[in-house]
Amino acid sequence: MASNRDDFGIAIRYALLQRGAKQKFSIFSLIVVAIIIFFIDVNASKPGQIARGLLNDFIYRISFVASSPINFIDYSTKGITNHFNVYKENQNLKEELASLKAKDLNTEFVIQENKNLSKFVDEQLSASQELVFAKVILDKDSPFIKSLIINKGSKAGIEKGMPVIEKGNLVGRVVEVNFLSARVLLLDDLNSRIPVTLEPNSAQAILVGSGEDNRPQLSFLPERFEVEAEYKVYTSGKDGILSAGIPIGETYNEEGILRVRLFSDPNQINYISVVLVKENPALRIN
Amino acid sequence: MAIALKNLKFHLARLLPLLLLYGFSITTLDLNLTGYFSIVSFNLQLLIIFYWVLRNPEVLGFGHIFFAGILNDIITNFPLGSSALMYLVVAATANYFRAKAIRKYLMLDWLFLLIALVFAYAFVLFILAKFSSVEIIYDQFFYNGFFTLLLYPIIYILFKFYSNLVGIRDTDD
Repeated sequence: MASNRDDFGIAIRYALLQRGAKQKFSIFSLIVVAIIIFFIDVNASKPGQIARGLLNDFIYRISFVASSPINFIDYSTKGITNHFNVYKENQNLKEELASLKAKDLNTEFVIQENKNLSKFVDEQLSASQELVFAKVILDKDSPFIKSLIINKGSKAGIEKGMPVIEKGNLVGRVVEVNFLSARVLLLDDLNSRIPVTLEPNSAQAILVGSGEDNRPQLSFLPERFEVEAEYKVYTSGKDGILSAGIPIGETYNEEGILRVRLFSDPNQINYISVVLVKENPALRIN
Repeated sequence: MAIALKNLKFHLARLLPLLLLYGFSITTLDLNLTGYFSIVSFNLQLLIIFYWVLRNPEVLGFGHIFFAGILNDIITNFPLGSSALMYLVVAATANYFRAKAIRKYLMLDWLFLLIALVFAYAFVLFILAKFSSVEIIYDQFFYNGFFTLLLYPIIYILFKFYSNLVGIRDTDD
């Protein structure tokens, strides 16, 4: 019995403390250092945040350079695939065009929708609003976080919380700002919460990321809300940060859960624009 | 000259596991299939660490394992040190089994890996849940661990083949 305990103790000591001929550090000492770093990071003070920001900038650049061969292969593969899909796409577009022409567009519906939108839009997202155009430098496919790293940061005037759009559609918001880079939390991330309005009936809801690709869902919908119908989803601007009326996507019903098909596929984003708006407390609803 | 060239080739070939570890930690390289099946993702770094620490820890080095974890945390926006802790717990468990096990074969390795993953995920989830504000998707962690475990035989065969090819021997001290 005592011998077993001794064996166990020796093996534990060996596993944690033994360094071997070429090892400079024992696992135990590195675990202690990792724990210290962890607690410093989760309780980061202002200087700690600045240091982390500088470190992030540096590592993101290295990662961008290191990932370029992989990105090049990925880009080339997509390019070739797209090339071969052109014919099929053309046929589909022709069919779609014919179907659209045949459709009797309900203009009254569009006018009503427009009126409803104008009611709550306090500030329109317009060309005069300042935008910062940025390139996506890192898009690591992680099961735990849906985010992008862009090549603009506080130097370009970007601040935490600012909305990020692609081709006029909302894709996420800035959650981390470094001097030369920033992280954008995508709408499908589990931590993403965006107040939205649904047209044509102006219902208010919260768009919640599900942690799964391109499948955010709507929560806090009005009672007896008709989930079968299709709605267009826009930002409501009620958080006082996002401008109202930025298009997000269209709803679809999945087993009683109202999900949103985003207009901008988060997996296909290369360039984005950050809207330089600051929080407007007057618009915030508590 | 020929001996020097052979030595150089051997040293370069020995670097591949380390390069893979850094590659999966810092670049956009991954084998995740979340685009096709939302639950299928792997933590290849853990498999690389487990296999090589169990056979020959000198190939990776504990300092590099720690550093790769820190880099991975920066890229994935986890609190600094959490991935490093996960990697080190797997390394420590593999090192423990290395001291205890006389023979190493796939099924035994697989069992050891299961234990190592349970320790690593439990430890990291505990500190993340208790001390950080990160919202944890427990399902995703479970699936990630499960599919990582499932992938091990393939990694085992590939690395075994590679070790035989370039002549990296197991160390038993």
